[in-house]
Amino acid sequence: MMTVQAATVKSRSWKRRLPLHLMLVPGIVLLIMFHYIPMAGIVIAFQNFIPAKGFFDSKWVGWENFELMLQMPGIGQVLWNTIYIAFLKIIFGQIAPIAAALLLNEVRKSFIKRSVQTLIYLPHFLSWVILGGILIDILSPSHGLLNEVLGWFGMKPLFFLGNDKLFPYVLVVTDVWKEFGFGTIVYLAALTSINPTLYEAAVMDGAGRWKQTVHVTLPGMLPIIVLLATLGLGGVLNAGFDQVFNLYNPLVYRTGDILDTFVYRLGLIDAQYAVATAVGLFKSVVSLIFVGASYWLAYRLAGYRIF
Amino acid sequence: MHHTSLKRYLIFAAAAMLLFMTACSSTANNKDATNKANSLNSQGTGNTGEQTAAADPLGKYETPIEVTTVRYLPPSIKFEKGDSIDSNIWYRSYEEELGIKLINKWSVPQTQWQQKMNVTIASGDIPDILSVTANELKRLVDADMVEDMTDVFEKYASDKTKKIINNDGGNGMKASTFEGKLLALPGVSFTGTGAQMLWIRQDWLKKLNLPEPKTMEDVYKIAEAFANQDPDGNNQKDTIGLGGINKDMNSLMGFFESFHAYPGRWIKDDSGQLVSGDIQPGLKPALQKLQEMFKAGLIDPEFAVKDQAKAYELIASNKAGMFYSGEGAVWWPLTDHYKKEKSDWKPYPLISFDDQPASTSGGIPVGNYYVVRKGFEHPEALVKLLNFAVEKQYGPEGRLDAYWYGGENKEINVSAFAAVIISDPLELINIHRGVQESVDAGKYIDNPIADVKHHYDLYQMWLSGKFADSNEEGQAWSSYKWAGPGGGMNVVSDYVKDNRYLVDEYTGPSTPTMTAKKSTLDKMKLEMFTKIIMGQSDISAFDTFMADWKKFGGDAITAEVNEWYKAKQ
Repeated sequence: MMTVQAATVKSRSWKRRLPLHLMLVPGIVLLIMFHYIPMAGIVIAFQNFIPAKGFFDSKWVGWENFELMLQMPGIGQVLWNTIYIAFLKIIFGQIAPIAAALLLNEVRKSFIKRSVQTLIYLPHFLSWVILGGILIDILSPSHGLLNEVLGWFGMKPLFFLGNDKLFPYVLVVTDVWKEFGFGTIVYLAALTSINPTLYEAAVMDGAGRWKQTVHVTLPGMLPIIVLLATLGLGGVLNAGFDQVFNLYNPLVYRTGDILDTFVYRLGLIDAQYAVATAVGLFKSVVSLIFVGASYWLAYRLAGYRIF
Repeated sequence: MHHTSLKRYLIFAAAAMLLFMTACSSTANNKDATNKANSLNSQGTGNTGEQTAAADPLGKYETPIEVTTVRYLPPSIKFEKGDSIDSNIWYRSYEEELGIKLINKWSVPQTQWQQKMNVTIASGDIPDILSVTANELKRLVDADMVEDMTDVFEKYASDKTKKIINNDGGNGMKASTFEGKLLALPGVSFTGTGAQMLWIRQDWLKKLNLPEPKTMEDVYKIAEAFANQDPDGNNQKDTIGLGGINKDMNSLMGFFESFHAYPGRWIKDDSGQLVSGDIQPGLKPALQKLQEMFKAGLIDPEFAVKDQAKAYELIASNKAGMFYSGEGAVWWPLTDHYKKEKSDWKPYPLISFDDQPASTSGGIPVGNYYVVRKGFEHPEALVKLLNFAVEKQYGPEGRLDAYWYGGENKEINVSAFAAVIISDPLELINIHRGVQESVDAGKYIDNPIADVKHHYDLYQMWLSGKFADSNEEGQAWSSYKWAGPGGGMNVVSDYVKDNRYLVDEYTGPSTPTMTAKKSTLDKMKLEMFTKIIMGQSDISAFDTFMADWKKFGGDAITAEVNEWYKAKQ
């Protein structure tokens, strides 16, 4: 009796869920087409790849391309730059939208809240090609807006894009500025899912706005924070090709050159496809280790699991 | 086996072509100037297609054929209303007069070209007709992706095409030939392209009572005065001395050359070996001087983050009155600037820092090559397009104006739309010399190059001071500053006459070590040069760079380059 009932319930719910599962199909097809099939291309990292001969007729060379990669002058610096810039971006790229979401959550006038939300979201739609040109002007030491403002406080003009000590931070700040509006929207959405009764209970217990934030809002947001941080760690070696490529210059090569720009010059400028792929594959392997580690951490620290 | 069948196929194709082309030209409309020229050029009608047969170089395909290609758009390109790179006077004429429907598979801004091309070649799916660099040509040849043009060229090229393509002393054809097979057609470059000169604003010179520069000392003095004595008269110290410098330092080439240094080129040393211009000792005093000028505020302090367009903004906004560039600077950025400001610019030949005359190093001898995809049914289409372009430029009734600046908007360079174009290597210099001859004589002296009349007329218009509108005025001014006496081409012509025009000695493709290391070495070079100029590194860093350059692959590259050079002799 019981088993029959269970089975019908199960099949009914399965039937009900079917359309939802079907909605996944286009996404999965795209994923396979653009993420899994191209993976076959990594074989060229182990070949002396000649495009016209293709995968099948190019000669196999084992680890030669990886050895060549490790011998390249400056590869260590490039790797360090990539990790350093990416870590800073993940940390500040998390803090800024959380802070913005918390602050916006306190705004009572919905007109202001919505306007601010839209305004900070706007830069997300500008490409780095356009922003590159604008930032060169804004950050210019001779006539740039930012240095003008710093000048009011008696600060000497700084050559933000031409100073290799400042450059990584310029990358981080501009990237956070461009993207934090997007993250804010995600966190605002997370905020709405917090049970209002928790706030009522907190108020009953005499908690002010600050205590409510610390004891109700933040714990409520924690799962999504952990999720986004975990996902962010997976892309830790993606320090942002578009951005760096449009902003860097000979003065900041030392601290600004990242794996992606390195691969770009190697692969698309010098047509060294095999070595470039080797570097890219290396990057992916390191990223995989980071994803694994961060997933494990997320489980240990927040009890969070995807599966 | 494969080869013979290909050859037989080509002969057959040529014969078939010939048959219907003779039919075509006999029914052709005689009013058409081009067809008149065709029938003059075509010989051997009735021949049944043995190898000796000459084909009609401009015959029309009875059934139009479709030919694919890819294009890039230079930053200065402009179109007539309704036109585009896919539909313009050249493309329409290809279809109407040759029966070739040219299709652009894609077109991108010039800045993205290199990247897109690499991807295209890597994909193995190249268009029927393609313009490539020496490197790309080598890669395509290695991959056996291009068609042998030896017989097709012999058969279909017009006499004029053959003559012009060899006017550079046969360099281009030699570079296109691999193991006896002509695998590409050289897009022969103008002699003088890339030769830099010093452009100085005359109205600023006069205003500050400065003499024309005779020595490098004078150049520094002018730079100082331009930076410090308020040449624009706005009572603000907002001008710089030497402008136009970008992060790639292209427009410092002339400055380096004044110190007999040629970064980025391969030059012959006293022992006859090729050496890289990147590490020659002459660079040291040049960089030291630039460092001094930078410290003194004579150079744009932010040049290191700017591309060329951004660097030229300083000139457009009246902040710089002096820069190094080629003779083409008169078109970009100066034409627009003249129209806005009525500024007066004059080009000076490079001045040497010592008693040896300064030479200029031009661009690469052969700028591009045209290739046909292996297996394309109509390899002769490329030759025909080439004949067509040559005919439009140098034909007896060459309708130069229609295909040059003859559109509704006289500012538009119509020839930029042509998919395939070669120009007589000596043409630009000959245009200048023709104009000069007419100027000396006081009247137009008939010249086989139709451009001479065009520029002479514009020169006269400039002298008359009567212009229909500001576009026409800009056009007249540019032409006068380009072809006229004392113009940019005059400087180039003198370089060539005085043997001060050097060519990059290495015209081969990237050597193995170059492919692996050159991007790292170039990055090192730019980084070091920039830091020295900006005073972030001491000048002694140059010695470290030289040693590093050699160690990190430079020596190997030099050896490979010399091997190539020896084999070529």
